[in-house]
Amino acid sequence: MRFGLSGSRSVYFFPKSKVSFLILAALSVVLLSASSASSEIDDPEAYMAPPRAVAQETLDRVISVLSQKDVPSRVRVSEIEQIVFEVFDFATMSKLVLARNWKKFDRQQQKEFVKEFKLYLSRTYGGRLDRYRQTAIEVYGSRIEPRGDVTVLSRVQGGEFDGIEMNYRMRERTGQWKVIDIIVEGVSLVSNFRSQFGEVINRGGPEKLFEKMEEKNAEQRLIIPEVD
Amino acid sequence: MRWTSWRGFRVSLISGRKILFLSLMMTFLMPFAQSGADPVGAGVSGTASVSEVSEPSKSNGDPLEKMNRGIFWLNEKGDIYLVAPAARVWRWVTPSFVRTAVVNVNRLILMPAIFGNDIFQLKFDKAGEDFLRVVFNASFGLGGLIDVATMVDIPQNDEDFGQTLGYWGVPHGPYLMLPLFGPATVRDGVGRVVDSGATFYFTLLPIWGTFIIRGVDLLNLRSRYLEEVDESRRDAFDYYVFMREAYMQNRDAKVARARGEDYQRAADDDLYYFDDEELEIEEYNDQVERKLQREQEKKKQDNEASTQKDAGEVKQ
Repeated sequence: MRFGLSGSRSVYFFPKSKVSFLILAALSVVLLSASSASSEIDDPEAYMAPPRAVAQETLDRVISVLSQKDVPSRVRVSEIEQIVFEVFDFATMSKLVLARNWKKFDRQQQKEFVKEFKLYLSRTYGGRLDRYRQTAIEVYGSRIEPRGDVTVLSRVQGGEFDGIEMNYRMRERTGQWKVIDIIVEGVSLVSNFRSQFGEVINRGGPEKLFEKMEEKNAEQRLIIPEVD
Repeated sequence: MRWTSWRGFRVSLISGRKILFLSLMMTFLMPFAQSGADPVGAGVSGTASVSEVSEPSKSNGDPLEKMNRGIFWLNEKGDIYLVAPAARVWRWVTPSFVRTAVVNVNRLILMPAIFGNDIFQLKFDKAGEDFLRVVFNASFGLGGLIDVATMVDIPQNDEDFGQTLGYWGVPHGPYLMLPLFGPATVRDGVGRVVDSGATFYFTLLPIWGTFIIRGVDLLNLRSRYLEEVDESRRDAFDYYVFMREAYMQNRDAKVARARGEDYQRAADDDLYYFDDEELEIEEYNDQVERKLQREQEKKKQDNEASTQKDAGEVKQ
């Protein structure tokens, strides 16, 4: 633009520079808005505080449940289930896990899937966590993801899984931070289930997936009360 | 008659030994794979093991799937009927401090490979840690039985030649299920062969010594993850896919870590957002609109044509 105005050939450049000015202006607006979008979080620490608090609080609760050694395992498992219910965003997780297949499900199926998946996750993970009694989990950091999710980073201390990295990806929905993925040593739960569900649906359709899920949930119902 | 039966007994004993030898071989080869794969994280990858970053189930993510599934099936049978039961027995007969000591010794044995790979990746500070680790554990740790290095905060690094190749930019290639050795990729399989060269001192031992070391290591490692593997098998919707995704993701994360990159971010958009849904709706709307426009235009043209026709007829 400056070139256009000062040069002797400004006559030739003027129209062109006007265009380039417009382009530049448009670009800078785009860039500015883009940069403000990504840095719209002025205080990252303050932004990350609530999700970190939720994660920390949840871990504390889980660990305190696990440390109740005189309580029967069944009770512990159901208490962990309760915590998992509160902290996970199962609707979002179901969508992410089904990916393209989510749209192939009708409303009824989608609802049904969220319900069954919720049951499946809380059962399997409740039962699994119950064995890790002597471990502590340290939250050592967090980071903001490009579009506003927060990943809380934690590490297992002690026990046979000492040093294992566990990250929780959290998203805010209706004012509450909830977990939408767990990443253990780089392995994402959402990603892994997405592949498995994709495979099952490709081979046998949604019906097959429901069938398997119900089967597994029924198995869990049998298994968990027996653990003691 | 007595003699023949005696001989018969001997013969059967020998073949019994052969069977024992074969089964030992199987067991010892298997841990090699597992311990090589992941000395620290095997538990979680027992429940776990990985994938192409975004859409792993695309057919090109696993071109050898058919063969892999076959080998996987065999490995599973070997594990279910041979290795896992043996590991159960091992866990029953040994106190836990013995199992910890075995893990420690095995980690020490594998240190030369880790040291070498840190050097190959030009991570000399880490190589220094590895060296200190060996010195501490071999001396104060009584030949590796006690992990003194961890007590004084010398980290246990996790490197292998597969990661080194990845560090220098070699892609992992197709997923590969190895007989006995378990999940790998072409790159990591090559890496495994190279790493086994770092335990060259095994050749100083008689062959059965190597077998015993490997066999015990395998059983010991497997015995730590009995429940995890059982649960993963039971809970998986497709255990083969579960294993592949876990292995690939875990490996990718490790290579990214080795390169100092942030692995998770690469997968973000595909994994965590649903923009394509909105896009599809938009596209659909566009299509509908265009269809409507086309129809209107067609109508217009038809009208014009017919009016022209009418006009022509009128003129005539």
